[in-house]
Order: sequence, then C-alpha cells, then structure tokens
Amino acid sequence: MRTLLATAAALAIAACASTPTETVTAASAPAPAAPAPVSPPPAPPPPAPNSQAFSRTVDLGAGISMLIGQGGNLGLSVGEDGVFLIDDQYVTNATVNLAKIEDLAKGKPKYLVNTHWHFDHAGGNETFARAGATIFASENVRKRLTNEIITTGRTAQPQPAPKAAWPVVTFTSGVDFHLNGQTIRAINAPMPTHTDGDVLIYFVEADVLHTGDTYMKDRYPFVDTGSGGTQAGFIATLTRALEITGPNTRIIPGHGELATEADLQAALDMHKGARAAVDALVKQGKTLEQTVAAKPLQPWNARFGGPGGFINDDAYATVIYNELKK
Amino acid sequence: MRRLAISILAAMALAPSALAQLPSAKTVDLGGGIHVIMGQGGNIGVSTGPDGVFVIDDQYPGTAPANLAKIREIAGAGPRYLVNTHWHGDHAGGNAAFAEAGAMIFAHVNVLKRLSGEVKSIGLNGQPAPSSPEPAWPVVTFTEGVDFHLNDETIKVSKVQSSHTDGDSVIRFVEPNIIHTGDIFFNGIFPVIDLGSGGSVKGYLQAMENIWASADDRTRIIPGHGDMAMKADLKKQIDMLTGTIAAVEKHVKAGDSLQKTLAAKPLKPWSKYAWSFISEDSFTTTLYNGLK
Repeated sequence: MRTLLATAAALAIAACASTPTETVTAASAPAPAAPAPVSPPPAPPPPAPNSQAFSRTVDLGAGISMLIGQGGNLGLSVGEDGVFLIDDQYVTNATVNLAKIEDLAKGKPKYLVNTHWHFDHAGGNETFARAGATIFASENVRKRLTNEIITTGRTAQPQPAPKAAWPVVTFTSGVDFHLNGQTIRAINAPMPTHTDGDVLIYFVEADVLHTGDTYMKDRYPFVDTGSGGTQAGFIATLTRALEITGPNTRIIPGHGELATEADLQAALDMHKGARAAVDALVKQGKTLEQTVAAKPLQPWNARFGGPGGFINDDAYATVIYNELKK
Repeated sequence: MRRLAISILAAMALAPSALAQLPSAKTVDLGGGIHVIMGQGGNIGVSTGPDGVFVIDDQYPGTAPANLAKIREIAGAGPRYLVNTHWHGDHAGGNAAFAEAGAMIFAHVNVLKRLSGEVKSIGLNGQPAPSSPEPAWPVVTFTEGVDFHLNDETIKVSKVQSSHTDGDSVIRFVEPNIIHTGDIFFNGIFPVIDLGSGGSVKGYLQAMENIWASADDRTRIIPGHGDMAMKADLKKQIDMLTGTIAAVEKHVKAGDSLQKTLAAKPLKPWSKYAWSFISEDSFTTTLYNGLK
C-alpha cells in the first residue's frame, strides 16, 4: 500500500512538470468538470520518461536565466565568479542537465542551492556534487534527505538519499552569496510551507525571485504535510515574498511560467480566501465530506484549478480543512 | 602608548613584514583530521578529510604562501572552505591568496562590510582603515550562522554578539568537541577589544561567558591567540576580564579622566597579562573608553 501511495505521489509530482512536448496551458483555460470529492486526487496518466534535459531557457539578463524542463524550474547565474544554480530536478535527468548547463555556462556549477528536498528539485544532487558543486540548503532538507527526520505520506522515501546528495552547508536563518555582480539572498521561509525546509532565493540587483514550490504559477499548492508543510505557511511565505518583490520583479516559480508580482499577489489572495471559505464551513460544524461537497474554492477554480497542476480544489480544501481541525 | 597602539592596529591590519621576526609556525595535531597551525597572527584551524579541506582563518598576506604549503602538507590538498572568525588582517589577511588557491570564503556579513569598506573601521588614530581588494572579500555571508557537514563531522559556525568586533564567529567541531573561539579568547594575555570595529567591553565578557557555558571539561579550545586551552583556562581569562573591568569601571564611575585613571595603574595586579601588543596602559585605555 505504501509503495502504491509513493508511486502515485511520484506520478503526481512528475505530472507537475512541463515536458518538452507539453502544450502550454493558458491561465484562462476553463476549469475541468468538478470530480467527485476524493482524496488523494486521481492519479494522472504516467509522465513521459524524465530523462531529457531542460528544454527552454528564459534569459533574464545579468547572466541569470530560468531553465524550464522536467521537474522544478532551475535558476542559473553565470559570470566571472562561477556558476550558481538553484535546484537540479530529477536524478534521471541530472547527467543531461549537467552537460547542458556546462555547455551554456562554460563551466560546472560551483554553488548549488536546493529550494527544498523533493526529488523533482534535489534529485540531481549526487550528480552535481560529484561534478564539484557545493550544495547549500535549509537544515531540514538535509534532515529529510538523510532520513534523520522521516517523511511520511506522499513523498516518503524508504531509504535515505545517497550520502553524496546531502547538502554540505545548511542554514536556518539565511545566507547571502556575493557572486557575478549580484547579491543572491537565500531566505528561509518564515514557517513550514510546501515543506519544513523551503528557501526563497532573491537576486537583489537583477530583481529576480525564485520561490521554489512555495509558489507554482496559477496552480493550487501542494501542501506536503508529510514533509511538515502547512497551508498557513503559504500565506506567511507569500506575504514575506511580497515584501521582497516590487512591480518589476521577475518571479521564477517552482513550476510554471515566469510570473509577476501581481501573479504572486493573486496566489496570496487565493490562499487567504480559500482558508476563510473553508474556515466558515468548519465553524458551521460541517464534516470534511460536507465541506468538500460545498465546493468552497469554486471562485478560484478558473485561475488555479486548470490542468497544469495535480492538486484540484477538493484536495486543497481537504488540506485546509484538516489543518483547521487540528 | 598611543603610538604603540596605533602601530599594533596597523600591523594587525596590514603589515606582515613588521612581524617577520615572530616565531615560525608550529602545528598541533588534535586527532580526527583536525590540526592547528600556530605562527604569526591568529591560530589557524584545519579539518581534513575526503570531503575537502576546511580552514578557519588565514593570518597575513605575507604568511599565506607558507600556510597554504603547510595545509597541503597536512591535508594533501588545498583549502576548499575557509571561514573568517572576523575581519582583522592577522586572521583574514590571507583571504585573497586562499581564494586564489580555490577556497570558498565564508564570514559574518559585517566581515564583508568592513573588508569592502562599506562600513569603516576606525583605528585608534581616528582614521578609517583602508579597505581590502575584492578578491579578499567573503563570497558567502551570514547573519546568524551556518553548519558544515564534512568529513563525517558537523562544524557549527555561530555569530557572536558585538565583542572583539561586530562580526565575530565561533566555530565548533561538534563530534570531537573542539571550539575555535576566534579572538574572543586570547589565552593568558590581555585581549584586543576593537571598539573602532564595533567591539564592546561588556559584550566581550558576555561572549567569553557564553563559550565557557557551552563547553564541558573535555572540550579542547583553540584560542584566537595563544596555546591550546581547556575550560579552566578560559575561566581564568574570564576572571581576569571581570577583575580588570571592575578596576577600571571604578574610575569611570568616579568621574576620573583617562589620564588620572592611567596614572592610578588599576591593572597592576594583572600585569603578567601584558604583552608586546597590549600593555597595561593600552588595555586600561580600551576598558576606559569602552565603559565610559
């Protein structure tokens, strides 16, 4: 049973990724017909083999780019002080990603920051570490990769990650990198959000923010409660992110296309609104089934319930309900 | 006295050649791949192993080639990670040479601010210290601390409150129970409390007490300057500082001028702590200015 759940989780997370052949879905795509209340959400079709390198590069200037492919979006800074990379996607596409980055950057990554521990963001750690990268992450990323803290539920890993995949430098109150003409600020999320080890990364001079999976553009969030994540954390962390951003900030989400401050604000408004809507039903004494059946997140489905994500409104309402009932 | 103090700070910041007559380096093997290089300037901590060489402090620019050679001899490789305990030239002076040799330099953010000149460090002559060239600047900075997980060890770097400067860190090798104090501990000699770099007399005493409280009777302590120490040695130093602060504070509270305070020789009972850089009078002056 556990294996089945883990497999379903793998598929679910993999489905989050854009594939090279995927048609980009517009934010205005109509919401799918509401399925019957279920949790966890239905398993999507199996993803394409995730062994291909990232397929698209978005040049953000000042040597910074967003790399889009399978798994989480990568952030790259290239310049005279060395190659700096945010996240490394899956173990299965690490080698081809590394080769493509090396080709693009004319050097191997020296600095690598994990936004969180999931295998679609930190799965390539071992490959990149063996190629010479020093891996930086929140302390809890290391604790979950080593299984010092056991992850439960959808992303549980029966065995620790290989030792070479473990971050070498960990922190709980942020670090700054001074590289390639940028101040690159790694900021611990103010509270557990997507997981209990999320980090935001802000390129101060270039005004580019990588949110990790605390933000996926125009999708309901994956609150990985088995990794310590909380829905309240999405409100706290996006509030913090919006203190950093300005109207011109380019935002690299954990998944999805490049976003703006207005997009991020819309997500924060959605998180707050969704929480209030579910809370109203909790206060009326509704059961989980009644709450989900009442479709409290309907107002946000047009923007956030599209096919790009794997968390539908029912799944998100369930997470909020369970958190409020704790 | 004033001229001496100025020349001390100048030497600390800049001039390795002035110190060429100091004793040559010796190394202490603490076991488990951890070594201390003691020579000119601050004590250098070295952790060796398959995950890379980790170094604490790098003394002067002029001593950097010899220290790098010594590290390669001990570790079989050059430094990969380097932490500055603070910005002074007798601890971070070798930064550019170590970075050139491949070291990734970590420090408290105020180390970067003072090396880059973003924040001026004022010498006893009232003049700002010159800034360092960019290759000497730390690349990774923190405000609270970072942990390294290397060579099957946890190495915890923690910022210290305003004390010796405003950007000091203490480094703990957790499993072998070893602490590098940076310049929070000058073993058996009067410490430098650099008020012009944001240091604080009372903060310095508190920082020493915090390290003392975190140590146990088996902890081996690498001081910023002086020989290897145990908790009891740190306690003696804390007692000295507590006593000297009380002796000088009495004059400050009585409204005595610095001149009158110096003339009263309040630190006479601790004269054995005086050394070539910090005389009784210069330490009296620091305490007076810091407590006033």
